[in-house]
Amino acid sequence: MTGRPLLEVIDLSISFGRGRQSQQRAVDRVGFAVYPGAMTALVGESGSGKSVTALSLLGLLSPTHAHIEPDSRLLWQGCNLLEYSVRQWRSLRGRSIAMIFQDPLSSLNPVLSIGYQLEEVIRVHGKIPRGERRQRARQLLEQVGIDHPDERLNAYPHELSGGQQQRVMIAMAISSGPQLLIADEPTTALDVTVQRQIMLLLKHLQSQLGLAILFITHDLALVGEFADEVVVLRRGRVIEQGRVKKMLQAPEQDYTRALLACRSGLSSGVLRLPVIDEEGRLQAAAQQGIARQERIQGSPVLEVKDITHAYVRRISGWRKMRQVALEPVSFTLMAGKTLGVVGESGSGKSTLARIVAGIQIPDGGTLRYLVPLDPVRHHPVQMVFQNPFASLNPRFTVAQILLEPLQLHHVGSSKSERLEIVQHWLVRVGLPKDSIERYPHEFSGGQRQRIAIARALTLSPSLLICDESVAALDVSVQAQILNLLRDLQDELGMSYLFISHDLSVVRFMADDILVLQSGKVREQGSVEQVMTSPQHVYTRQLLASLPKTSVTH
Amino acid sequence: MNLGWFMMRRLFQALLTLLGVVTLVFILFNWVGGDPATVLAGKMASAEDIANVRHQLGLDRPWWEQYGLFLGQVVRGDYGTSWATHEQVSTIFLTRLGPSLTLLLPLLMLQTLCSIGIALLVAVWRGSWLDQGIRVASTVAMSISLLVYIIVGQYWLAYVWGWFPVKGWSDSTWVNLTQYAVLPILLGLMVSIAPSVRLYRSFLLEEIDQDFVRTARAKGLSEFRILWVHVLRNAAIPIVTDVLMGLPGLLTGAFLLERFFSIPGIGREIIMAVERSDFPLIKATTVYVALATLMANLLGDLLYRWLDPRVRLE
Amino acid sequence: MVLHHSPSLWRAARSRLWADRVGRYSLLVVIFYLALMGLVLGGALARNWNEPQALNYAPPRWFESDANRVVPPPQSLSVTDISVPLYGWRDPLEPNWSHWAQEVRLHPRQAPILATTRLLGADKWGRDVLDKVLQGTATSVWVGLIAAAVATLIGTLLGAVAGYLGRWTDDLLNGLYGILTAIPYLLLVFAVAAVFQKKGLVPLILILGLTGWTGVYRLIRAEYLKHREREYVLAAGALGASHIRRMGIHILPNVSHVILVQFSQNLVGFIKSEVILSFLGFGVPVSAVSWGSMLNEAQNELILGKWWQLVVTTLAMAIFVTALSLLTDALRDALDPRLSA
Repeated sequence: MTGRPLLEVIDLSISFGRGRQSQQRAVDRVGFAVYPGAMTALVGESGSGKSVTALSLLGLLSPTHAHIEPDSRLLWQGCNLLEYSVRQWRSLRGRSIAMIFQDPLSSLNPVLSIGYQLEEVIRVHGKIPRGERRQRARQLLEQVGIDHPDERLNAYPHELSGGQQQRVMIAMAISSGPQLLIADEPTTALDVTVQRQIMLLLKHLQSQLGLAILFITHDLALVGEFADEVVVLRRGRVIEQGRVKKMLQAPEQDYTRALLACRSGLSSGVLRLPVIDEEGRLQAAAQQGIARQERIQGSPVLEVKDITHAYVRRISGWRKMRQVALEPVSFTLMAGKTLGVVGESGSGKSTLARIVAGIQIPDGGTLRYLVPLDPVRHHPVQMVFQNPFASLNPRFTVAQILLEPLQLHHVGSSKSERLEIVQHWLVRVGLPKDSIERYPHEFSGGQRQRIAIARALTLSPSLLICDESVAALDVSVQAQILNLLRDLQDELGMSYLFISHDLSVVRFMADDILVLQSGKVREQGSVEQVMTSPQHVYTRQLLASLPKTSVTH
Repeated sequence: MNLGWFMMRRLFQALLTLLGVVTLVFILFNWVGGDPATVLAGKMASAEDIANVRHQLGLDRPWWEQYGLFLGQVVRGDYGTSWATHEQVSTIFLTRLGPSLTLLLPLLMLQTLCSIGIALLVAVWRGSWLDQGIRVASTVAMSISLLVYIIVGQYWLAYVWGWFPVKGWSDSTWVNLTQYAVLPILLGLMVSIAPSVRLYRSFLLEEIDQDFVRTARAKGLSEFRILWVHVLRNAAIPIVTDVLMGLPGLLTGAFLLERFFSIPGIGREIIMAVERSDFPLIKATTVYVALATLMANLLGDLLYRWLDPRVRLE
Repeated sequence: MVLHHSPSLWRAARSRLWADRVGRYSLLVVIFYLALMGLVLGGALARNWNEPQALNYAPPRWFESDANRVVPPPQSLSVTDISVPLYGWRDPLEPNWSHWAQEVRLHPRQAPILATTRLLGADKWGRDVLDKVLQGTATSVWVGLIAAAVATLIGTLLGAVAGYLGRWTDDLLNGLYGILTAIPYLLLVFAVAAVFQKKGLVPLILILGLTGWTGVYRLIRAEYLKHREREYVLAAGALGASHIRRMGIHILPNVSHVILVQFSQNLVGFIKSEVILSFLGFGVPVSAVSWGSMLNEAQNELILGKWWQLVVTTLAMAIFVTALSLLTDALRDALDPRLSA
């Protein structure tokens, strides 16, 4: 990149916690530069220090918790920001550097109108007279692509959709003509189709206003499509940086290569994803796996016919409102096969999962489990939930968690026999035997999800429902869990109902796909069929929202 | 949701709750405590006397008739005469309301203003010596019984040093406000500020850690503006609700003050009624105060809707 | 129902509590009071609180030395002196008189030697203030403890049922909650106190416990409402755990910190209420002594310049309640589940 950098970060180190021994270094001698008019991406998994770095650029870290080491420098057009006074910081924020955040709803003040919050920035920074502020606010909303801006000015944040909320945040950010916009995971909380629109808007503003954007994300695919420069962070350190095109095509560092591989593998029809080990190196998967075609054709395990469900909400007094969650849904699941269900928030996919798991009772339709109910397999259907931090009882030990289903269904005649079963599954999902006496909070997210899988497996189900089971995990961990699920399927011949918002993950896992949108089935068919020749508009939209990474691996 | 509908529904609910309160009072005074006739007839009464009283009170009738009688009393607002003074209960209630309000309204106002002020200070400089100091001071202040404040305050400030009248009440509201009510209000503040400061501080801190405050800071707003517009506007919702809901509680909560300073308010009347087992008066007070509470809750709900757009438009 | 407490999380909470200096000292103070209560209730301490030990209004020893006090001559006690005009009535006990007089002569009783000062002074009847305050502490803390236990139990049970089951159970219990909270707490307590004709510790505990559960109910109900939808509870349901098991074994340990904090908050509240009730004479019976009844006596003594009973009682109560409030705060922080996540 040519020209002088707008912002230079030199040897930035940030530690957390008070007292010498409890200090934890979240950011360790990080250095990079942001050039005018370019989009620089800061990429990393959770714990990489990317958000902390971003917050420090605006002086938004809590001074009581975070401590910036003295030899760090943040040069804004040549001046060190760390020497700024409170007043100087304030005139910088919003005027020269603006910022938008991950969750737009909580980032907007819930009790103030959109118009008020927009005009507030204009008033603080601009020299625009009172009467024209409203007009300016209106213009801004139009600029970020919000329809009916006059009505929206009087609206409150909760009345807008997630995408619109983020657009309002962007409007506030660009209102005073900043040179740099920091976008901290701006699309993570949004649906995939909306995500793409927001990214396009940012890209458009970048070129239209000559805005520099610091884009913080965990998603290398988005980086590949939209960013110009990229900085890869891992555990607080810079692993690699440079031009996006160059790096993604020929990454120099193992970690970058691994990160790329465990995502791009999803689309290339491999049987197992490569994974990243502790040191950040690329590892081939331990098992090879059986190809889809070679798997034995089984009999159906589950027949779902015209299932419907509606939630009843009390709106006022005795009046109730039915909110349809599922319109008639039918499918058949064969033994040893995976049915992938794709849908965005509000599509009814979780309701479907709960109905099949027997947690919720459908309003209509039939469910037939075609599994021989032998005395050992009392519960032929088990479920793995989305959030591994919420799905394990924090007050139970791993042993208690895994023993409970066995006790409830009188599997095994003695405690020692049950313990043996439990240990078998623990080892099988890749956890050490001694984890049995430990508590969930002592494990990482990926390990917890393994525990949750082990719990489901103790009852030897023939159908496993995975409701967004990898959505809360980092990509590298995601790859490990997906591999594990496929290993288990090859070995045990289970069927999966695999539910996700992420089309690429579903494509990797599933044999058949069912596309849901607001409770309706939009498309149903084999993976190849749906991916190569989508019939419904919505499916095409979903496919289009997959980042077009030019990366080949 | 439509406001008319909302009001209808809440009024209906309040009515149901009031019916529940009336039933509770009916059960409590007719059965739980034993035969009210023995209480009214006195300790030296013969069996004949008691039977007489039972007849007078209608206690010899079936329970549904008694319940109907009581409901009628509630609807008409006529609870008969006091067992102790034979005054009309409604008259007693009306004449005691004025002094109570003279004492309580200034108390509530001062308490709210002081608490919000202190809570703001403490929330801004949270973790500082000021915050710590106020926290410790308010914990200790809360742990001493109101009784001690009153006993000591009345003895030293009024009796020994003569700064205030020891007790009494006059017919003039102005004299009452400037002389007789001053010490009781001050002593009331001593105990009531500390808990509100704690509560409001937590309301403010809850908002201070929200994401939108970070946004406001990223927008380049001054700390003062962030606090005054963004934080306080949000924290005002629970604070206003709390103040309104606390109003009826004060009506009886100040009975100790009224008793010690001989202020002829409702609180003092209740204590005397409990001492004399004056059942009609206690029953009437309970129902009236419950009615006031329900009305305050309703008002609080309305205000809440007015202040919080998230609820307003649901 | 077995509580599966996870020692790990509890141990972490305990060490957090112990690491907090305020939490540690307040815990020690509370334990000290509880030990005192145990000793007094067990009869090891302050057993003779109700007997005169000193002259009336004997001052504290450190305040006035013995030399300044004059010991009055012991009064002689005689039964035969009784001559009450009976207006023609016959005392039904008259046949026993001569027998009693003989008994008294046979067993001459030494009038107790009354001290002129006591460590913390004496009251109007010459009872030792230290003994009284020990006994009063025991009564007040005991009443508070039992009442808080009753209220917490009721509140937890109803709150769990309402929050977990929802639907009409929730509506019904919310109705009950609405009725009880429509009446300000102290007014409700007074109304119940008015109808209880007998005074005693049991009615007192019942009054406090049966009216004071609403706060616990509200919080526990909200917790159950929240936890019922958590994935770990759904997972337990999917595994076939019954509702009772989900309520008792899965959710209860996860809300136990709320229960504990509510218990100690209730304890503070009930002790304050007991003091006010006993002060007004609606609380403990005459045969017992509590902080409230002591304050009642102290109020009249102060006017005579006898301040010691007031000071001693106030201090005893303030120290305990302060320690308990600080402990509640420290507990709340130490048990915060967000910290252990």
